[in-house]
Amino acid sequence: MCTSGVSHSVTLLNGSQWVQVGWRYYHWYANPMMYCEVTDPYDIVEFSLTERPMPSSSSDPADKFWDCYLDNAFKFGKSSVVLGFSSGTSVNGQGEAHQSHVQIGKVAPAKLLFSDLQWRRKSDGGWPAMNIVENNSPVPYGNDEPAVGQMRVWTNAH
Amino acid sequence: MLTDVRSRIDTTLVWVIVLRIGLLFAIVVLRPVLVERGPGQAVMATEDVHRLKDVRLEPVTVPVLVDRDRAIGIAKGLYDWDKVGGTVDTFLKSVTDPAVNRGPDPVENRPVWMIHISNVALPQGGPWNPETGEAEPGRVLRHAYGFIDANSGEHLYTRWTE
Repeated sequence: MCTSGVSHSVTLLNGSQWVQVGWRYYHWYANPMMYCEVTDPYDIVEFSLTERPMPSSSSDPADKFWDCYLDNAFKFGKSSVVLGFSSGTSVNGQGEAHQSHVQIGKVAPAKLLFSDLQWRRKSDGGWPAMNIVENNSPVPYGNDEPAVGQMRVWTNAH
Repeated sequence: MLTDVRSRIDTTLVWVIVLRIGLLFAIVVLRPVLVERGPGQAVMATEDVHRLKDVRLEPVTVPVLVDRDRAIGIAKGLYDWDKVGGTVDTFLKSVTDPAVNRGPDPVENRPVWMIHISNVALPQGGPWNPETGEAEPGRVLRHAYGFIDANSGEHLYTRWTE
């Protein structure tokens, strides 16, 4: 991976505020790390990953916290009162490279699949599949929707 | 007379052997509970406390099982800071972190080795915002604090700050 890094994440936005969960890997990391990130007040914490990680985040209206999970285990939580919002207007899945030649894995492009993407409907508490809207990704990014509620992102190689 | 002397020598030898075994036992078995009640730590600067704003840090008042070198080794196994010219200093603190103490395994008054990695620059961008059609501004993170449980050696998490 040369001398840079890459991250893949899902973000819930409300205006300019957001909460984000994902994983990232820089060339001086031994392994990818899962991270939870919130803005205003900004905070980012990362965790060692298990072999088959399943990062996720959710907000429970009952306790008014944004919680971040890894393999269904609580990792990190911030009060929605502190963050200033308890529901989002859109969800964004993305890859993010910090140099134009970044690549994950030995075979390019290594696509990262976000599967089983759901959102919590406020009216009845249901969890329908996300309605994926694809953006045309600029170089070096790529993305597609292999199935309903799924999204793949990747960064291209040199 | 000769028998008395030999008997005393034998007794002395037995005691020497017993003491040596005891010393060996203390070094090998008991040493882990004796290590680290503070040596090897840097003094935490006001800037560090400020960066870790919501985290409550208290002095550690009990012995811990993991020494400083082992804690650094655990962190080095995760982050090879030499590759990017990073430097480390360490703090042993009793930590209460409100952002990670809501689960079944809270970080509350927990003895932790904090491995502070500085002299690094980690770019972290903001998310794409469909409402504005632009990415939110990113930032460069320059300080990492790896939290290593001072008894189990587990990497609990790493906090990054600007």
